Amino acid sequence: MPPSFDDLGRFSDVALLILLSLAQGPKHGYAMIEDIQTFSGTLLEPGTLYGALLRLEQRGWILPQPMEERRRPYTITPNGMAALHAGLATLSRIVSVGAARVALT
Amino acid sequence: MKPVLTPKWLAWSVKHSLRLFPPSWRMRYQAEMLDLLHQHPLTLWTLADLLVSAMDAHLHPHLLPREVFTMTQRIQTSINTLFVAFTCFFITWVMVPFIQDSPQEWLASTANHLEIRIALAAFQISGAVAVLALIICVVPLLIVMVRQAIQKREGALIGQLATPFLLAGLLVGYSFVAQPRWWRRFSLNVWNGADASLALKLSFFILAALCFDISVWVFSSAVKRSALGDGIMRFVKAPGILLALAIGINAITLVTLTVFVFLEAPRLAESVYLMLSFDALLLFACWIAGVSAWRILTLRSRVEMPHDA
Repeated sequence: MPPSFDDLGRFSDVALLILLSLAQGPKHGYAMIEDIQTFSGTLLEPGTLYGALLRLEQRGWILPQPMEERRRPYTITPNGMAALHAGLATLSRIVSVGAARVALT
Repeated sequence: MKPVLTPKWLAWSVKHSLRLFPPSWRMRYQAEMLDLLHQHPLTLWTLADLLVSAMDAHLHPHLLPREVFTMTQRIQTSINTLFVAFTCFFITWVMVPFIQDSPQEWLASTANHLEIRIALAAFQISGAVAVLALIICVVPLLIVMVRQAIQKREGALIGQLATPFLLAGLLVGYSFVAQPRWWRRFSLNVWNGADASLALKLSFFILAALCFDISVWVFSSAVKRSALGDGIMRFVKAPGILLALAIGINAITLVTLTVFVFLEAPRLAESVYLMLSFDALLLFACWIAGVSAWRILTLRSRVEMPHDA
């Protein structure tokens, strides 16, 4: 059974954005916020970001790295990458279905 | 993101809203969150989001890492334990040369017994190595903490870090005022004080020990207030272990010295009793330093998380 974002509740979309950002390479909190804003236009607030990071860490989808000054970079784990693939596949199906239905109208 | 002008009350509220999070959350995330908040444009929405997140953290305590001791906290504890060991060692190292309660007897005994002289020399050399190791350990810590304090404009922390230097200035001033010729005729032998009175020399060394110990305590307290990253361990590990080893060797040499004095020069019995109390203090320092060195050696390079198990 592929990893699911369902039980992440209000953090499911944020979690997907975070995993997508980390797929590019390790990032700390501020770098993630900037990257996510650049590719999605969504400005994450710190509380929401850390709420999602907490959940992703707990699931083992991301891994905290040693602190650099006062910043801690995070990396995506193989399980996180599998979850990202699953999440993107779902989004892809939604896009194709959406595009097909919009084309009919 | 463009920097925006944040009202002071809002910045204060956002910073202090972190206190609403559970202690385990703060231990794990507060340092990095504070760093993020320094760069993030703060709005009322940020504050509201933090308040909701604090409530969320209280409602989901099972999500927090089981091993909540951050690497920073473990580093701080290890360094501070080492400082406590050093303080105990330093009191002994400074005071042992003064326990010559009968100087003529003492000088005669040390002149006749090579092993006592060797043990004394080993005691002084290992002590000097311990002081050197502490200095090597403290300099990078000091640089990191001063830089952080300046960046974050923490006046109290800067004042705390300046205290050792102020005390050093006070000490140098006192040495010039009390004993103008002291620097020219430096001698640890307080009984050979033709140019300065015994009381002044003793008071200087007691003041020096006091200033040193206060400085170590203040520094240790500053370490607790700073967010030290894992990277600092590259600079602290080797001198920290060297310091623990030097304190260990120092303790062995002092115990050996005590045994030699007891066996070879029993007429210095009063010195032996005083030395025994210093032995106890130094063995205590040795034990703490050993624990600290073990902690430093076994520090993992990242935070332990539940899924590591």
